Amino acid sequence: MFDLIGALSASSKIGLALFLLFLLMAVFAEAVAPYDPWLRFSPFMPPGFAHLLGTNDLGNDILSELIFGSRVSLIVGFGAAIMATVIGTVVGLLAGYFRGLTDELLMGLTDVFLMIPQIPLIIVLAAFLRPSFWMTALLMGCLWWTSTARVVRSRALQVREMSYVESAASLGFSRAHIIFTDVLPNVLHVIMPKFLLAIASALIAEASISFLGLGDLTMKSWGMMINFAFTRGGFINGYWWWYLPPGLCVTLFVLSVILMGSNLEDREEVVQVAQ
Amino acid sequence: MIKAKIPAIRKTPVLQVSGLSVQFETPLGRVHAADSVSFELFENETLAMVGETGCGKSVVASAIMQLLPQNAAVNGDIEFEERNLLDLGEKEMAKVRGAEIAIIFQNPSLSLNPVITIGDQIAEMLQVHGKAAGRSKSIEKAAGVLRRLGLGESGLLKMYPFQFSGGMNQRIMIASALMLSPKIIIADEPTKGLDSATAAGTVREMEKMKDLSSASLLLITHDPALVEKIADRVAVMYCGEILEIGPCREVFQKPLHPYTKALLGCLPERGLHPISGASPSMTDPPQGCKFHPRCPKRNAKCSQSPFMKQIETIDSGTASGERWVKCWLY
Amino acid sequence: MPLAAKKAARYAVAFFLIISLNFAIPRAMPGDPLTNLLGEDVDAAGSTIVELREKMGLDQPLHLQYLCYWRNILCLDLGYSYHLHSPVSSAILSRIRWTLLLSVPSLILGAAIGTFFGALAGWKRREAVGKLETALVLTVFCTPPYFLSLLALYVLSFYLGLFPLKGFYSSGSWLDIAHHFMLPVLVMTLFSASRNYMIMRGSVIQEKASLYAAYARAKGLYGNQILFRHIFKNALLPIITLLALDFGFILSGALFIEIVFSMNGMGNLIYDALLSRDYPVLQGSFLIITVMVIAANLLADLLYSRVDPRVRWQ
Repeated sequence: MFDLIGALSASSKIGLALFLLFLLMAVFAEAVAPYDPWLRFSPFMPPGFAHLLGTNDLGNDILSELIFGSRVSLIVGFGAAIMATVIGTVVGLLAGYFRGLTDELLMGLTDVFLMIPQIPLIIVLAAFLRPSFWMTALLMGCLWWTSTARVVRSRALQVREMSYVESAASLGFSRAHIIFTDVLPNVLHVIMPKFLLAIASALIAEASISFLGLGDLTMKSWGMMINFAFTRGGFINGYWWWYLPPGLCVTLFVLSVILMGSNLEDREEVVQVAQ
Repeated sequence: MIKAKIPAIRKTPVLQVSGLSVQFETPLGRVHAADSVSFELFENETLAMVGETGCGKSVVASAIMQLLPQNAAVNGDIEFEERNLLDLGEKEMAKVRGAEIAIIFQNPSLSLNPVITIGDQIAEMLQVHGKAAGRSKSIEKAAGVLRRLGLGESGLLKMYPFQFSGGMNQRIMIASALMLSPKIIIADEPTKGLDSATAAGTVREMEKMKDLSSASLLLITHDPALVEKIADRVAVMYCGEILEIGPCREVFQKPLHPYTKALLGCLPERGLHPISGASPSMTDPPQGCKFHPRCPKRNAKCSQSPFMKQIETIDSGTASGERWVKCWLY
Repeated sequence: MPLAAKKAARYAVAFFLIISLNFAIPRAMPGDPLTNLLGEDVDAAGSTIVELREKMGLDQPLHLQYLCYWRNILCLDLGYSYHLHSPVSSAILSRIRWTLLLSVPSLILGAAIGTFFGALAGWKRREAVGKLETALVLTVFCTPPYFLSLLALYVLSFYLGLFPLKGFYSSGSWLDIAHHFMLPVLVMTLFSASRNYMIMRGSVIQEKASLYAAYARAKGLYGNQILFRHIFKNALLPIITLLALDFGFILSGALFIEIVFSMNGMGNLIYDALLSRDYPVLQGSFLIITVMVIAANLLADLLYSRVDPRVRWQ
C-alpha cells in the first residue's frame, strides 16, 4: 500500500494529507476540540488564548464548533456520495450491459437530469421538507448519480466485449450473476474518482443550503456557522473569526478531495466536478 | 565510420548525418533506438531507408527534424547548409521545418487538423514562414499546387479532411510539403497499412512529387516495391544501425550483408523465407554485430562491432555510386 | 432515429418533466396541499379556506388539476404570492432583469478570460509560475461562491471602502449603477472564469498529444502559434456543450452572490421566500430558472452543430 501512495502525484499527496487531517478531526472531535461546542462562555470574544478562534454571539467556542462541524460535513458528504454512487453504478451497469433501448432510455434520463439545476431544486425541496442532514444527503444523492452513471456505462460497454464475459454467458450464467461478478469489479476503479468528486459536490451544496438557513438546526455545520455570521450581525460588525474559519475549511476540504480524486488533465472529469 | 578518401569529383551532400545516436529513457530501461548512424543525402536523389518495424528508421527521420519526444537523448552531427541541425534551438529549427526540410507523416487523415479547411492548412505553410502576401494569395498558391497533384476541382479548398479519403489526404500533405520548395522532403512510411491498390496510387503520387520538385527525398519505408520504383539508393537498417548502403539495383540484385540477403528472402516473390531467431531486445542489444546471433555466416569475430567499409564504386566514382557494408565478411 | 430528432426529444422531455415536477412537488410534500400551494403566510378563516380550495382546484380529481395547471403555465400564470401581494410571474419578471444583468456579462467575461488563460496554462504545463497560477485558480474553483463574495465584500468594501456595501444604486445614475455592480460582477466573473480555466486547461492538455499538433510543429509552427492556430479550436469545441451544462451551476452561484451583496434580483427574492415559506414564489423561481438553463443548453447545442464542421457536414 505504501508504494501505492508513493506512486501518487505530488498534488494527490497534498490532497490525501489534507483529507486525512479533516477525517481525523471529525472522528476524534471530542478529543481534539478544546470545549463542547454547545457550552456557553462570554460572547463576542475575539481570538485569544482561551478561545483560539474567539466566541460567537451565544458564547460558543468557535474552534470547537469548527471541529465538530467537520463531522456534519463529512457525514453529509459521504452519505450523498454513497447514494449517488450506488444509483449511478446501477444505472450505468444496466445501460452498459443491456444496451439498446434500455441504454437509450437511461442515458436520455441522465441527460435530462444533468440539465436540471441542482442547487435550486434542493432549495425548493428543502424548503418543503425542513430536512435533517440525512435527508439532505439523500436528496443530493438522488441528483448526482449522473456522472457516475456515464463512466460506469462506458466501462461496462468495454468490459462487456471482453471474452470472459462472453464465455460466462455462453456457459449459461444468469445475466444478473455476470453483471455482479464479472462486470462490476472491473468498473470499480472508475467509480472511485467519481465517488470523491461527489463528496466535493455534496460539501459545497451542503454549505450553500446551510448558508441559506435550510440546514439541520441541530447540528452546527460549517455552512450554518457562516449563516449565523451573516444573519446575526457577525459580518456587518466585522467579526471575521465567525465566518472566515468555516469558509476556509469548506474550501480546503473540497480542494483536498479534488486533488485526491481527479485527474485534472482530463477535460470530461474536470467538468463533472462540483456539478 | 571510416570515410573513404574523397575523390575529386565527389559531390557535396545536401544532408550529412554522422554518428547519430538516439536513446530513450523508458520505465523498462534505456532503449537504443539508433546507434552511430551515418549517411549522406545528395542533391536531387531519393534515398530509401528500409528495415523491419522498430529498426529505428523513423527515429532517424524524427531526429533530423528535431521532433523526438522529451525523453530522447540525441548525440551526433547532422550537417545541413553548413549548420549542425542538432545545435539549433526550437525557434531556429522551426524556421527550418517546412521551409527547408519538409516531412510527410505516416497517417495523413489523423495528421491534418479536423476543424480547419484544407485550403487554410496548406496555405499555412506560406503564412507561418512569412512568405504570404495575404490569405487569399496564399490560398491561390495552395490551389495551384493541388492542381498539379491532380486535385484541381473547385471548392476543394473549403472542405475538411474528414470529407476526404486517406489517399487524398496524403496528397494534401504532399502539397503542403511542396509549397515552399524545400531542399529535402522526408516521407515517413507512406504506404504503411495500405492495401495494394492504394499503395500503388501512393507510389504514383511519390513519382509525381519527384517530377514537381527538385528536392532530395528521404524515403522511410518497409515496402520494397516502393523502393524499387522510386529510390536511387537504399540504406538497410537493423536494430538502430545501418548495415548496408548503396545504389538500389545493385543492393537488390547483389546484396552484400547477410541481413540484406535474409530480408530480401522474406519477400513473397523470393519465397517467403523467414529470418530465423527473434528480434533483439532494444534495451539490451547483442554485443558486437547486432545481427550475428541470427546470422548463418557468423564467426568468432562477430562479437566485436564491425565498421562501415566501402566495397566498390559503380558509375565511375560519383559518390552516389558507392557501396558500403558493415560486416566482418568484407 | 436521427440525431437531431433524439436531441429534440430530450429537450422536450426535459421541459415536460420539469413542469410536471413543479406540479407534483406541492402535492407530494408533507403537509396540507393548500398551504403548500399558497405559502405559509396565508392567514384565512374557515369559509375562505373552502373558497381557496375551490379556486386552487384541490377539490377536483388529480388529472383535471394537471390539465388546469398546464393551461395556467401556458398562460404564464405561476400563481399568486400572498406574502408579496402580487402574482408570482410579475414578481419574478421585475427581478429577473437584475439577475441577468449580473449574470450575462460575468458569464461572457468569465468564459473569455477563463478559456484564454486556461488554454495557455494547459499549453505551458511545466513552468513553476504556471503551476502556481493553476493552484490559485483551483482554490477559487473550490470556494463556494457566497464565501468568495463575503470575502470580497469584507476586504474591498468594508475594509478598503472601494465599493458600496449594498443594493443596486444610491443615486440611480448609470455610473452609480455600474459602481454598485462592479464588485458582484467581479466576483462572479472570477467564479465563472475559474471553472472555464480548469476545463479549458484539461482540454488543451488532451489535445496537445494529438497527431495534428505534432504535424503542425513539423510544418514549422512555433510555440503559441501551434496553440492558437490549431489546438484552441479543437480544445474548445467539445467543451461548448459542457460549458452550457455549467451555466446552470453558475446561475445558481449568481443567486448566492446576489444575496450576499443585497441586490434586488432573483437571489433575494428566493431568500425572502424561503424565510417566509412563500412556496409559490419558490416554485415559480425554480421553474423559470430551470427553463432558462434548459433553453441555454438548447442554444449551445445548436451553436455547436453550426460551429463544428464535422457535425455541420454530416
